[in-house]
Amino acid sequence: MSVYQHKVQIIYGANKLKMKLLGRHNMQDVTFPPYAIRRAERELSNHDPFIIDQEMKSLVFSTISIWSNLKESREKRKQTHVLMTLHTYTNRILDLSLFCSFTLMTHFTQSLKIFLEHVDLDNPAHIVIIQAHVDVMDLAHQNKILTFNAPQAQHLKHTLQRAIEQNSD
Amino acid sequence: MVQFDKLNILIFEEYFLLSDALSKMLEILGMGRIYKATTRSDAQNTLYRGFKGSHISHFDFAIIDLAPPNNHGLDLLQWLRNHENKDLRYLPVILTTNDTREKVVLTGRDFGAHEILVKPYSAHNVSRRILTLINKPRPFIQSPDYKGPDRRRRAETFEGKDRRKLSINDIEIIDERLSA
Repeated sequence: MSVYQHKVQIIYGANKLKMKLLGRHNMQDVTFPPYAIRRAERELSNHDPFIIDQEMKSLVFSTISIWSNLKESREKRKQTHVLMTLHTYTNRILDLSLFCSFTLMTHFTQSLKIFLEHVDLDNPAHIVIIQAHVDVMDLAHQNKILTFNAPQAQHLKHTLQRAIEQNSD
Repeated sequence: MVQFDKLNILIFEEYFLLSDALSKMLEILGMGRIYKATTRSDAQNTLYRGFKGSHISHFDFAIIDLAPPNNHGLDLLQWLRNHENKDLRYLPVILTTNDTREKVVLTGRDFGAHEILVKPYSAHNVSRRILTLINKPRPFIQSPDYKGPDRRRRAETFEGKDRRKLSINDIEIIDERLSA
């Protein structure tokens, strides 16, 4: 006797993508021309440093302002909303850092993003940990210490690590 | 010469900077019309309108960002996989994420993404995922628990005890290849 009320359907559809590209009867594999991939790769890494710097500045500034808003807020519902906004901005900085290979900023935002998933704003230790993240991100941006190649990068990384360890259960 | 410009793509990425970069990359790769949606509702409306036959005849695949923390990308994927329109339900989807954790990748797979692309984008990775959609299509599974491409990419024989709860009578195989 089957435990399933509905049948499981396995549907073999036509390969519409290939039919569109090659016609109904040609089923050979397609590839992109290598020069197009190389050009696309070049285009991707060819971003304007000024625009990136302005964008990072705006994102870090917004993050600091959202965080300060969140610390002052006492209303639970507002806190939840502002926390989501903080999470969104952390993600944007992470996206931008990955895009530009800002390895240190990637490290900080990845750490903050994961921490925010389980944060308890009633726990003072958690507040310290978020504050530490926001501080190192601000310092890293202001002093242009965005990658692990920068001389003070390890110092900032260890400062955050210490703050996390000292305030963890 | 393959004319990739016949393919229409929808990008759902809330962050304009990445959406622009991805779109530019796809343009260079020779893709056809590219629509950039920055909200879930815009993506849904455009996908639906496209299939209703207005300015874009239809989209051939979509690149959807997970869009944390609200995970609007997963909502969009779920909307597609449960859509009454077959073309939307089967639409090939590349799900992008900045999160490399296994649970995130598995969630994307279980929501019915064809391919998962972990950021940062590179032309090499993006083109590889697109070619997998084109060259290695998988059957679509429709069950009470899951709707999406077959999650098994390889057909392998298994020697151990058969613990499957499904019997052959529970499975219906539908071949739409000849009627296409």
